[in-house]
Amino acid sequence: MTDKREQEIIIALERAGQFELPQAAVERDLERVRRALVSERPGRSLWRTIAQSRWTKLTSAAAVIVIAVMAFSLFMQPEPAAAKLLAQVARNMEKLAWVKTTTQTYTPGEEKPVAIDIHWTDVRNKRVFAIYDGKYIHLMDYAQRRWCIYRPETNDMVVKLLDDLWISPAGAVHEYILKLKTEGIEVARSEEMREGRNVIVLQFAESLNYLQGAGPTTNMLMNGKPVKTMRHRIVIDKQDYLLGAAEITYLDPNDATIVVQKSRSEPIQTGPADIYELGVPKDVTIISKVPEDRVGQVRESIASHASRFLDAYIAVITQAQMENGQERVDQGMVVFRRGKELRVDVYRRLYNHPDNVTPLYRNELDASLTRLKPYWPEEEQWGIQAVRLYDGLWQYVLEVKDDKLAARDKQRRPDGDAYADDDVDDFAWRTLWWLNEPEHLFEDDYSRSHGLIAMELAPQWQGYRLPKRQVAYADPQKDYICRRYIDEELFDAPWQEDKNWLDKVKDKENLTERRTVRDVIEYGRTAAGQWYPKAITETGYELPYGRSRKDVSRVIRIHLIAERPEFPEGVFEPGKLPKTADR
Amino acid sequence: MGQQQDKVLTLLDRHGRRLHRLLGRLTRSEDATSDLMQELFLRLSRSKGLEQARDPYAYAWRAAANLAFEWRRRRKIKLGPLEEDACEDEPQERPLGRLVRDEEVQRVLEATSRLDELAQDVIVMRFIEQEPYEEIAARLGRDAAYLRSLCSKSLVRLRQMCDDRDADRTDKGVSYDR
Repeated sequence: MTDKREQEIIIALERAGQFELPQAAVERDLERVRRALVSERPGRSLWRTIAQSRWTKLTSAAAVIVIAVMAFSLFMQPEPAAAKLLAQVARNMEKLAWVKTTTQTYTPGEEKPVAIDIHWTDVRNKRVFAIYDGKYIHLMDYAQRRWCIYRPETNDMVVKLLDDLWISPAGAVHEYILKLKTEGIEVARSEEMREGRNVIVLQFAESLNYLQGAGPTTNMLMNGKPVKTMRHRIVIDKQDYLLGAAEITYLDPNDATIVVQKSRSEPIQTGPADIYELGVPKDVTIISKVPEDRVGQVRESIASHASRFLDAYIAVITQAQMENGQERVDQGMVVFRRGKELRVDVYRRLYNHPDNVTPLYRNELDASLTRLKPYWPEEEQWGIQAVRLYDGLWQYVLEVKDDKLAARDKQRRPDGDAYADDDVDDFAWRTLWWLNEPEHLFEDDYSRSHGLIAMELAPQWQGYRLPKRQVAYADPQKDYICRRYIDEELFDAPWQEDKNWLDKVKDKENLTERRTVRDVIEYGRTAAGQWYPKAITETGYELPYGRSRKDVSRVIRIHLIAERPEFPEGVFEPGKLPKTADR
Repeated sequence: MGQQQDKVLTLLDRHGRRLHRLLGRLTRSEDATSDLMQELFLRLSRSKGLEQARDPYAYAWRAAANLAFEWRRRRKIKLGPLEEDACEDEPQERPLGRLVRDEEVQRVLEATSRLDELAQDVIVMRFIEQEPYEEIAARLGRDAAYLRSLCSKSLVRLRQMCDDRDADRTDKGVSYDR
């Protein structure tokens, strides 16, 4: 017998069952899939040939990001009256089969453009062809998830996995409206005559976050300078309600112009049939960086199990140094997780310093203090180190400075909280990434004897970073938890191809070899039966260049103390964080 | 031509519309359905599981449901109201009741995405696809009485998850109002 609330749920599910997309959309999608499948057949598949090629080093193609920025930046206006205008623009964009965009880049003091880039967007087949700087030819094929990068200097074409999701020009309109709504970016709108046509001009500015602890630096660099502000100017033709010109000015933290990009977009009937039509020679050497299918499947399984982990819990995580066989706790974290919201209060060992800070905030920290004490009873030994709050979009961080908690600039983090070792999920499921993704699975004695799936990522030396290797052993019997994780940067790395790399580094004393191995030694299960690590050992060492080696041995213990609990009032509210001094 | 490719093309011809409808109903988004449909068949064309599957449609159905629920779990932004803004041709009326109902559907689907796989299958087949228990039992190779009981337990679980979320929202609303 179902109760009233369950009946409402059944009605909601039945209502979901009544949802129908237009027949035209169904036919369009089926046809698109059919075309993609047919193009995959042997003899016609570029990818199949490519997959058998050798694997070497990959260069960055950061310039491609520009197209994504442009696509995002081409549309906006937050006020309700603009919705109709944008809806009209979106509908018109949906009808286009191809769009050609030419972008000219100018630097201050230069009259001529320093670069000219051309993009051809094949809307129906989800492909973008591009020529950068007149010579680098790219194909981003979102349907096949492949990214080809042709380099004329070496006459080779690197092919890698394209991870980004396709955003159609119309989809970008919707995403941008939402972005403006959630971030409250102000848009100025005006109407004017341009080249004899009535146009609507929209202008707005976006400000980027400073990276934490890195001074006035953001994660976007242009001409070697950090970009703090992007000023956009968009022109919509009132005759056809399509996007015409766009201009983006990139400014540094002092508001000085770094670069101006001017784009002009036009609908075209058709574009390049393939990348060779744009000038890639037929005898090009193809370098495949495409991972095996199996790697993708395992990574998806890992992500899928991680996403199913408890969506609300409270945990205490302690980290202890091993001293003469005894655990000596030196850090304790109290974690409150509710959906995307995450609050972590971090406490540290004081090493005989008096704790002048925690008593100042005893009320605001009460929720974590009371939960940490049972697991770190020597209360006089520890004090607050930091409070981190992620509200699903913004990251707030308070840290101890001058005997007070001081707030860093809040950071916008649409992709998740900024810390990799904050919550239970971080310790349980590992995603390998370092400039690239794992390309193959492998077996060794450890994986065979424990029934694990192993994958690795081993980039070469770069700048001041030693040859690096990350290895994850996932346990398919225990929800794909990472049972062993190895992170190493070695002077004498077997996978480093150029064995004389160290001779090319000037300040060798800045280099440090390090190796860490994390092993799960005890497991727990949630009430629903999902596995998680309860205890992890961490062993390894650090070896600064020319100095002696320092061994590290630690134990991390995860105490899941409540599942789907009632949370302390205000624990996820930025307004209820301890009152702080600004940094 | 590869046998696998043939198999996938046949699957597309015979069941493509049903799979498209399933994706549409679980995502309620034309863009997402289009993307996931491509993704689904791309995966199927490379999947060893399909090759070995006794019932390719059942295999594809599960893969489609997985993709849609995965999309729901990962989705960070709700596009519902904006899609309505963009639909100028539709009646301009936007009664509160419709919004509330739509939100309820989204919430229940999101909760369903967090159920176990078997429970997800039964809930979708029973209430969204309106299949009788006997048919579901045949498709899943399980006993109908067991599935009936599982369905009932899953409804209770869905109610708890939806109510938990309502409680969170209420808490937040109160505190923001202060």
